[in-house]
Amino acid sequence: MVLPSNLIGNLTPNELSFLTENEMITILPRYSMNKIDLIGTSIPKLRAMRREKVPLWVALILKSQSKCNIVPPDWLNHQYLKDKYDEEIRKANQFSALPFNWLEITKIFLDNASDDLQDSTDEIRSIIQDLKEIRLVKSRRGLKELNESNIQLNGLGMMEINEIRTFVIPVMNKLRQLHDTTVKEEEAESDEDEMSE
Amino acid sequence: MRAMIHERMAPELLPYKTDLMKNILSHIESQQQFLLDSHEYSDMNNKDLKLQLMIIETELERIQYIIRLYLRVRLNKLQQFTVFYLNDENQNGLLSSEEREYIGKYFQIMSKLYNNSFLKKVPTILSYLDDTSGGQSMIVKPEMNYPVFIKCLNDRIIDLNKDEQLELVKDGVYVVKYNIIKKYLDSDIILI
Repeated sequence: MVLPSNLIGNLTPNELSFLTENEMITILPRYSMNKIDLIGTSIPKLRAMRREKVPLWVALILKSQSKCNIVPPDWLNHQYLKDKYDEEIRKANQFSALPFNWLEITKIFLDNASDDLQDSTDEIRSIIQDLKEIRLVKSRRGLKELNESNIQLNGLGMMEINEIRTFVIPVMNKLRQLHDTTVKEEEAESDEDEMSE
Repeated sequence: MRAMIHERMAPELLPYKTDLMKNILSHIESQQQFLLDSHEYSDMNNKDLKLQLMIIETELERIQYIIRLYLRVRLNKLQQFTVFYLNDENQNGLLSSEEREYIGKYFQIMSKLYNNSFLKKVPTILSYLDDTSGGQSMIVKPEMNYPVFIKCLNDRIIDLNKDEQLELVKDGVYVVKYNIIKKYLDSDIILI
């Protein structure tokens, strides 16, 4: 009622990218602007061609008015991602280390600041797609090992977690309920044994 | 923002962040006042200023959105577990005063609706909404063992139960029962 049921217990991709826009990013301003005090942070005094760190959403506003260039993070280029892809293939049972919200940041860059990337967008898009698919295969394979108490998922990104959350959580909850009933039955049985002795 | 995500992912209602909300709301007010003043008194042809005001306005919108989401998630939980939180006596700081008022009225309306539509036709003994006899409690409680996704900010060893321990490494992502990690929230572990 207050909250549509598809929002309960999960985040939508849009919300994720909204949250990601609070990350800090380096920009290269093209003009000067005075310091602004905001509620959450404050934007430092910008001077033309001097690198500064600002929240991503501020960078996007400035970018849309072509008042700055956004410096892509050092992992967002074809070579680095290609290396990661090879690593994913080599280590079949492990996720390679990527930033926690790599998918969201890449998406924002491709949509809004593609001219700031060093490589062509097609290359980035295809390597990202490859990476995403191989990681998805791995996480699907890992789902076989779900159990009732806990599970470790190191290296997964936020977006990937969100994708499997709708499946993982209910399954683990059911497994836990089943587990609890067997535990209770065992206790009850041992009680009965004691009684009969 | 973290408070919003925690509230969204945790199965039970977390304590209301009174100080945080008061602080943010007062900040919002002063920023709005500043915006109004600037619109009124300053020269609107100044492009620089226009951009700055736009950034301030955008931030306001973003924060207001998060606050609204936070409150909506809380209200949703209150509707789901109305009787449970209404009966819960030791709720120091769990609900804000507005929320307490809301939950009271909500319960009144609900029970009136139920009474008028079917409860007056069933035997009185069966018509209590908070009946706990007969083996089956009629009060909907939050499930405390619900699994949640967590992320570790520091290395940490937590107790699973009496004789088992789980070692968590920094930046690791895990799925565990909510009950186990509840006491570590806000220190080394965050919900995601």
